[in-house]
Amino acid sequence: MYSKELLRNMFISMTRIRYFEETIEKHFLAGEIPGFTHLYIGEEAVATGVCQNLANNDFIESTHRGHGHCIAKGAELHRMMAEIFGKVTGYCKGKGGSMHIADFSVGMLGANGVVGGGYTLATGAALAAKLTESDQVAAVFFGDGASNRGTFHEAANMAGAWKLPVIFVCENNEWASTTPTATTTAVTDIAKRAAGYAMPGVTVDGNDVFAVYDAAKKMVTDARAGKGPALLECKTYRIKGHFVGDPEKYRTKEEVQKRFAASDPLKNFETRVTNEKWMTKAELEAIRANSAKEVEEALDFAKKSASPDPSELYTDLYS
Amino acid sequence: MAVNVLMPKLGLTMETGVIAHWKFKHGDAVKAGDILYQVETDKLTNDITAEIDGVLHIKFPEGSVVPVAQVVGAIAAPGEAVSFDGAPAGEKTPPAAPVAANQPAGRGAGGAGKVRATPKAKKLAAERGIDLSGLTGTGPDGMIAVKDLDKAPRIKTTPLAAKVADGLGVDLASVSKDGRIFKADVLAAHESAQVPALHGPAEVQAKVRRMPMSAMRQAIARNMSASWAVSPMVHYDLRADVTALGELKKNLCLGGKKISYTDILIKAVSHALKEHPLVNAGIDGNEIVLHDYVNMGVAVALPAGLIVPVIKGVEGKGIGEVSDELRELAEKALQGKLVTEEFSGGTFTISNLGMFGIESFTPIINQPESAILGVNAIVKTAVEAEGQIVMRPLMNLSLTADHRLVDGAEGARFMARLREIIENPWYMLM
Amino acid sequence: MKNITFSQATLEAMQEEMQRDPKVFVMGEDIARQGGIFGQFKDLGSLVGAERVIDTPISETAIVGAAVGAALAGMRPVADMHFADFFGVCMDEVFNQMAKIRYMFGGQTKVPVVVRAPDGMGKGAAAQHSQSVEAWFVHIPGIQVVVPSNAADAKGLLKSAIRSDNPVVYFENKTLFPIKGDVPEGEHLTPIGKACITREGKDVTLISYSAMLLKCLTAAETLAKEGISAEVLDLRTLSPLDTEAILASVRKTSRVVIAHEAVKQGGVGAEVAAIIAEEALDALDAPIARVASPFTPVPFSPTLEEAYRVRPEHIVAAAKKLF
Repeated sequence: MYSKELLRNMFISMTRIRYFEETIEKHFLAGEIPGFTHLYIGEEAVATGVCQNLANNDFIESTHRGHGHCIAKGAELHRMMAEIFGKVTGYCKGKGGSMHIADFSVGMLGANGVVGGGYTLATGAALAAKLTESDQVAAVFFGDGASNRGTFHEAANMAGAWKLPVIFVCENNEWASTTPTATTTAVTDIAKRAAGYAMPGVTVDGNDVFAVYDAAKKMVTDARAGKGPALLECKTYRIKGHFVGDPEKYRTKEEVQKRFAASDPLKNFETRVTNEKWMTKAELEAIRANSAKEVEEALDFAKKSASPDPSELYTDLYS
Repeated sequence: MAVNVLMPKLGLTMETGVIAHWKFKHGDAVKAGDILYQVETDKLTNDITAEIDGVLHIKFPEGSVVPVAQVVGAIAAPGEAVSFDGAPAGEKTPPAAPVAANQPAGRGAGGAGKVRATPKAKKLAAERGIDLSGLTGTGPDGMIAVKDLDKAPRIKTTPLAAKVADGLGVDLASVSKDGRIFKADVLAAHESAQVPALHGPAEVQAKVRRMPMSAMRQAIARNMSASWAVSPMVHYDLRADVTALGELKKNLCLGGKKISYTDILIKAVSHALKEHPLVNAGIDGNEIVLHDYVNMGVAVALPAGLIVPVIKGVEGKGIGEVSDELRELAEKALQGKLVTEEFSGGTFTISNLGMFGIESFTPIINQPESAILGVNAIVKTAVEAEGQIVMRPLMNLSLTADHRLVDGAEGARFMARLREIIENPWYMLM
Repeated sequence: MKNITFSQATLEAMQEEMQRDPKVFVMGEDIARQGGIFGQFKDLGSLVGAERVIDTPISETAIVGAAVGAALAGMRPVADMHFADFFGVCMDEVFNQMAKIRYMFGGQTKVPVVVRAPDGMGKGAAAQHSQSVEAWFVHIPGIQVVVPSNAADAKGLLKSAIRSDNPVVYFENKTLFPIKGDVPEGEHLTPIGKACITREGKDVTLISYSAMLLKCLTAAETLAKEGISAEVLDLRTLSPLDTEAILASVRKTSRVVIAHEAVKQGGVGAEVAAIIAEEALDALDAPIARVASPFTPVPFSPTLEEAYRVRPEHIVAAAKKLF
């Protein structure tokens, strides 16, 4: 049984992510956003299901596809949006951008532009928790492609050897950039790799926020209890291209539409909660409307914010 | 292939020469045979000509004192690069590097050729107004380093001052100042150069101008001081009646030839010298050098000094011959074209200041000779002749003799005999 | 003052800082039980608590990455590289993570990590255990690089590095560990970013750091006998460079030799030379000279190794060429 508050929070998180990413896509394509950006649409249940188990002072390490993790961990939409627009009011004063958002006040230790760059950092944060005897845990999100980085294996081994409170969360969306994961990965289920590092490995439906939540809940609880790390593989699907503007020559639109229709995590959630009569359609609509409004306000804030002064170039390098 | 232009050795004793004047500018095209520059030594001025056609590259500017056989420039093909880095071929680099004595400052290290100097040396040279092209590098890899700058005169100028000095022709070396020379200092120096140098109170001292001695001036100063120091000089004055000499001169000129008193006096003096060999002698160590001939030096005033061309073997030459030779030598002297043989080897010297109205002076012996005769103006004077007061043309003769060789009586006898010959010129025929 | 080895000086620094601040811990290969392969961590665990001196897997990537992550979580880790050569294994963690995090996240956090890296040639250590790679790190904004040459600075710079809120790479030349030097009693901090004149002179400045500094001091002695007064400047920190100290000494002597054990091409000497050329060219009365290792990997055979090794005579010869 899930509390009403939890259910509401899950849907708030997922709708915020969905609308945020849709807005980013629209304004990126309109040429208003510099650089390049990667969207989390279709994978909202993973970040949400994991982060609903985390306290404010727990840590997460994120990826280049990190907006969803950030929102799920409780970062502020308007400061995220401003950062993505390169504005001085952004989380990183415009120095980071889409791939480098962090909010240390909510334990979000940063998105990482290097695929597989987060494992060791999360492991270090977990080591700090162990050394200071706090009950903090660290979750590191990564893709199926990133699971082939050596950093995964070094970090998983270290965490396994020292029983560090790290949850390795694999978002298996079937695509390593433009390459099907199956063609480059020795195992079908990434979770099987946990065996090599003496940690539990569980594969769940990553489009079902409840499945993710339930699995993560046990892993986080065990980690807090000093039982060490775990690997949670969430099978999902990347609805959008690798980046906004990706011509996606490696797959068909029909295939994507078909998969999305069958697996949209927001629809899955709505079906479940209305079927179970945990929430009403009106409640869901109200949350949708509020999230949409929050994203609109964030966009307005970002657009109205100033760009950083060139003199900011040399600040924040050393403390 | 560039051909070097050298400082020639124009006589046995020549060690350095002054580049008096470049007839062309750096980068000018020159033809074989063109006069490139005039070299001035203590004794002469000579023209140096181009050996080949080409573009002139100047290493040392006008006023530079350059050791003989040093490269002063080069003639190169158009576009050919010329470097003056190396030491002159076949000649050991002299211990004291040539210095630019007269170089307008502020032109930096560029100069004629490319100068290799350390950055610090270049900076200091620019500040001090030192022309690096005249320096020999002893720094790393032969570069001119700071230590080499001490060999050059230190003249600090502002770039503007250097430019103004260049424009007005003010020699920065003549601008006396301890600190840096500013434009105002140059202007003041230029102004003071327009009035005669004076000594006196501060306001007058401020208008004192200093300039370097020319090579000739230095030579005169050196020779005269040496003569003054070495010879105990005795001076003799004697007046001669030149009525007969005047008659002789007049008659000689009737032949269409312009014969001067000096021409005749040269001959007259040589007669007297033959009879008084100690007055036509010299000292070499502890020996007296006596001459069976008379090589008569005649002082010739030049715009910036004097030179003494020598008529050789006067005893065997007629007055006309002497006259022709003297005229020719004087002209060459004025043009700076005398060759060494023409101004060396004298046994006695005559210096005539009569044309200026001078009635008596004490000439200084032209070493290593033993005496010199000063010739003065002819003045009509009232004299007693056969109980009558008559006006006669008298010329005062001023002899300076070296007492080491010529005792007072001998000097007096020589002078008395000379007067006798002058007043009775037919003695010259004997 | 007490006369202790470079190695003991680093150990004192670790002990003092770990006792002062419970957030400081150290991890690396072979440091707890072995005490470090050069003895530089000997018995540290028993002095400050075994749980804070951690033997790691042979995973340089995880070592540096975890150090960075722990720093983000509030700790002040010291990571040991075993050999500086192994930086190659974990450069992403060094330059994409450790160096970038503060700037790219807009100054939200600090990254107080020290990475200790024994570097330089020993005897017969060959190509992958002998390198001096400090120049790589000087090229990375966001990192500080320190290079002590003596026991006092070994202690003072390590303590300052641990207290720095910035990532610091601490290069300790293997050959220095057994060398004794006077170290002040009690609290002793060497400021990061400050060079020091080890020997005063007036004719030429020998600029160096780490073990090569000792060779410069030897060279200065030889030069003195030949009438050349050499000033020896110990950079101590390579990033940020003490530009003022460099320029002041060069302006004083007008001549400079830069010496280091790393290969000459793209070395720190090139940076120092460029700074001098940019800022003080007209102070130079001779070309800038560099003395550094040949542009090859460090060879193994003793004859090759000796041909490779920079000796004081090389520095003396380079200096004399400037006169």
